Amino acid sequence: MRSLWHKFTRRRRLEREMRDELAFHIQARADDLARTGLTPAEAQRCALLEFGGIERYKEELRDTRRLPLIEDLLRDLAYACRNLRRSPLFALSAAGAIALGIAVNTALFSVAYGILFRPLPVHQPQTVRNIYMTTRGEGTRLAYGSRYFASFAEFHYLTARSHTVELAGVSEASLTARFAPDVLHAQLASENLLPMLGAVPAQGRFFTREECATPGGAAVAVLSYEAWQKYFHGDNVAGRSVVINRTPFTIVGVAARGFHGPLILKPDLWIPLTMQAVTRASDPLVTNPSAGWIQMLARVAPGTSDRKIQAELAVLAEQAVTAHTPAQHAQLIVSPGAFLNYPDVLANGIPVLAVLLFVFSLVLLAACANVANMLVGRGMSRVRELAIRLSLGAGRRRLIRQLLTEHMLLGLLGGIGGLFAAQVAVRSVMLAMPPLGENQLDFSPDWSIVLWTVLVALGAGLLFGLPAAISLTRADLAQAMRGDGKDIRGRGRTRLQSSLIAIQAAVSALLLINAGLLLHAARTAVRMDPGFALDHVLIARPNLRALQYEPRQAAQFLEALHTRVRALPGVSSVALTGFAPVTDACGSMMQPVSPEGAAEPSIRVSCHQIGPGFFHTMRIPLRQGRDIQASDLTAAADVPSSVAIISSEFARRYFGGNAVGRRLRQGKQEFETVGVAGATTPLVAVQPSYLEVYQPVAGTRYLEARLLIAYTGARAPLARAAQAAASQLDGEVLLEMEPIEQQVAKALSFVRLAAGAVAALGALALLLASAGIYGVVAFAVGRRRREIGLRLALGAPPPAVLRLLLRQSMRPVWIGSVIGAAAAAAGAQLLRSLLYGVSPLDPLGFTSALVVLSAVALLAAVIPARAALRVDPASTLRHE
Amino acid sequence: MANSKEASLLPGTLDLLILKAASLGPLHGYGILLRIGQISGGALAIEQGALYPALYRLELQGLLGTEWGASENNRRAKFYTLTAAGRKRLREEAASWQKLVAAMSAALGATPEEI
Repeated sequence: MRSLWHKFTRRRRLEREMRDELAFHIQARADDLARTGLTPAEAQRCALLEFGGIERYKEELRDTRRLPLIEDLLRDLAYACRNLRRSPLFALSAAGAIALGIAVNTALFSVAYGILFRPLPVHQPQTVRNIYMTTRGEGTRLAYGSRYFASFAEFHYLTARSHTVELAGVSEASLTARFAPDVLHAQLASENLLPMLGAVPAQGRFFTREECATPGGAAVAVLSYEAWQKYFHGDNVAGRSVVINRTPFTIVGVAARGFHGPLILKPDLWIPLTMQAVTRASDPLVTNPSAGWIQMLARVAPGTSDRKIQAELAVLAEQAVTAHTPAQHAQLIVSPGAFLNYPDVLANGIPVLAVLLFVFSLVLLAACANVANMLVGRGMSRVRELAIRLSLGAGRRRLIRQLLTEHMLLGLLGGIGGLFAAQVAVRSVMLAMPPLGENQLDFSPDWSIVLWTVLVALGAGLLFGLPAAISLTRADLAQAMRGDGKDIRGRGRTRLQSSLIAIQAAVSALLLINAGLLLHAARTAVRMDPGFALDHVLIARPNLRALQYEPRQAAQFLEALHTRVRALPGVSSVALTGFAPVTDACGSMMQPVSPEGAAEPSIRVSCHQIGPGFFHTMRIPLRQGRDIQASDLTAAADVPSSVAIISSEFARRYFGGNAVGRRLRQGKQEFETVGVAGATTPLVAVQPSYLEVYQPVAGTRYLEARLLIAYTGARAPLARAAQAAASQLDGEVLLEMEPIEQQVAKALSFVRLAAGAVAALGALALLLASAGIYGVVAFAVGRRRREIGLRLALGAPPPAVLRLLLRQSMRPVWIGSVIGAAAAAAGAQLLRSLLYGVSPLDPLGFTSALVVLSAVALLAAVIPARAALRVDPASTLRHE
Repeated sequence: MANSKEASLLPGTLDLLILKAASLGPLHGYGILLRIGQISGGALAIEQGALYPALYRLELQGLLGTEWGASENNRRAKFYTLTAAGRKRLREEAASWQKLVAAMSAALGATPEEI
């Protein structure tokens, strides 16, 4: 903008100087002439005459100064606007096609940007930074949430000593409070977090330094505005005592409306970081110096560079880490304040994002090819105008620039449309995603999204505009001057049009084939028998951790609940599990031990922790040996007792089938395999599938344990009865209930979403391609009306002429399809993990996609071709 | 202005004349016109308007420097001076022009005996 302004002011100055200089010349000459005896008026006139055409010279001077560039641009823009207004239908359809392509691209960018890069929804987000720290080297470091979080000791060390920035810490936890009938979401905050992010109390106050000084120091809480309204109806709550996680807390204040902290999920309340122990009573993190669980944020003072902050904090972090684990080294990263720009998330996410952006941009490529075709088609009716201008001496470069301005303008119009359409696309994708909970993700356009869209739009404008502009200003256009246009063979342009059709066909084929594969995979996944129950199991999870249960108490509670639920009507069996079935397990390494006692190489396993009856409840057959027994369970230690059951696949691969009585080693522990269960197929497509190991529930896992309830009949009354049973045992226990059907849907949502998205992209590309084919064929037959008329008049049967026309129009479609199919075959390997066993070269996926493409393309070609055949041959010939 | 006594300019010679005129001291555009008339003894005619595109071109090439100052009648005028690059260019062009003239004269002065 500024350079534009400079250009304008410079232009004005140069113009003034030029005028002054020439005026001086005329005046000096007139003075000299006056001295020879002419009257001043005559002298002036004479001087002007001698000078020659002054305006012509001024123009020449402006050219020397390269003044025209910007004027040309403005003139070209005005011309382009006029031209587009003259054919609004064309402008609308071209910009519409580009808008479709850009919408898809912008939608993806908006989502990725909203999660990874968008400034936080807090006061003055530009000066907020995320501070990530992690360690390298020998020694254990526990990571909760992300491996880039700090331990409480480290956080405390850094905040006490940093002079360059103000540091704040935040973490998340689920809580149970007596005042709320549902599980609450809490943010654990350092004393300065809320004021640092610009929050103000709507009532009362926030935390004080003393309240946040020592672990377990002060049980105080700040409510969110929404929670205050929901649970206290806006009453005066400051100073009120409440019970949270069985601990008496005092509410000290309420945050003003609209403030939801620096994380994606909106919290119901804030408690001090120092109160972390109430969220994990049995193994608190706040006292463990090598457990990272605090996400650090910083508020930067103006004039302090990130480099300076990094330099200071890196030194402090190193000191903080070596204080508890001398063998480790700290690594510290300063990033802009954003939701999820963790270094590992970016490192893993950006390549995936790049691939996705490429796939999503294919639609834009198809749209560009389509619009380029429209431009070439329309340009042919403008050849005469262009030819006249070329022959009148307009430079070809100048004409190309003018056409390009017009095409870029179309691209920008498409960009504006795309920006709005992207919002619609984002909303519909978010609806198809599994629900996330109350969150503050924002995908609406801001300057970065607008800038991205404009850049993509200009890029697209160049992509479709330049080939069209170059092709339209070919020198052979002069032939157009010869008259009625019948000589415009435009062989080069026809070839360009054919290649453009081929590009669209290739993109359509590529996307449709992938959509076909994914749809086939989604159908397969839904119909496949994973080897376990997909319905009529209710998962009930009590909030034992929040209620400060010890593992031993939890085990007793779960056993009592088990007995009561088993007695409910309609319940066929009940079993304990440590992890959510279908979607969750823990990954681990184990070594099978040979009969001689030698350990074989480690293999990756998915380990489940279960109780008796698990296999029966989940309808997994027990092939050999025995089930887990009540006596195998232990709440005393975190290590499972020494028995394990493995899947039949595991047994087949490592123990030659009969695995009962064999041993597995994990670190220093050894387990005896007491049984073999039927093989199961994981439903979560994106996780690699490991071999399954089932062990008895142990230790703190009891605090996360769930009851699986197999039932017949209605679910709702059973859920109510189960909750009633739990409440009788402990009035504060809440059961989080989820039917297994929902877990299954969650596990399959990714492949469904992928199939839906790619199918939508493919449909868009197909729509664009068929519109393009229709346009080109209509134009081609229009140009060949006389030839068609002649053939018909000479007795060629109409079907033969139709076949001829179609053969020529379909050739680029077939060429493009073959290219697209080859690309799909190469690219489908990337999809393998999503395909649920469907072959990447699945003939059904390939053929159905190609049949659909050919059929639609043929239809798009037949309609205009048949219309041409209906013309009366005599009339076209008379026209000659 | 043009009459039979004045020779018309060969293409490319206008630039050389301007550089020569400017080498004799800073001049405004009209002054350059007069100086060329003066040093060529009135034999070379320049179309007045055509002078300025040439001046602008030479300025853009960095051969002439410009400065606004007061003319002899105390009017604001733009003065042109020869830059170091301009001086170098003038030397080269003048030398090659002399060579051309010598060659042309020799060619045109040739007699049958010399062949």
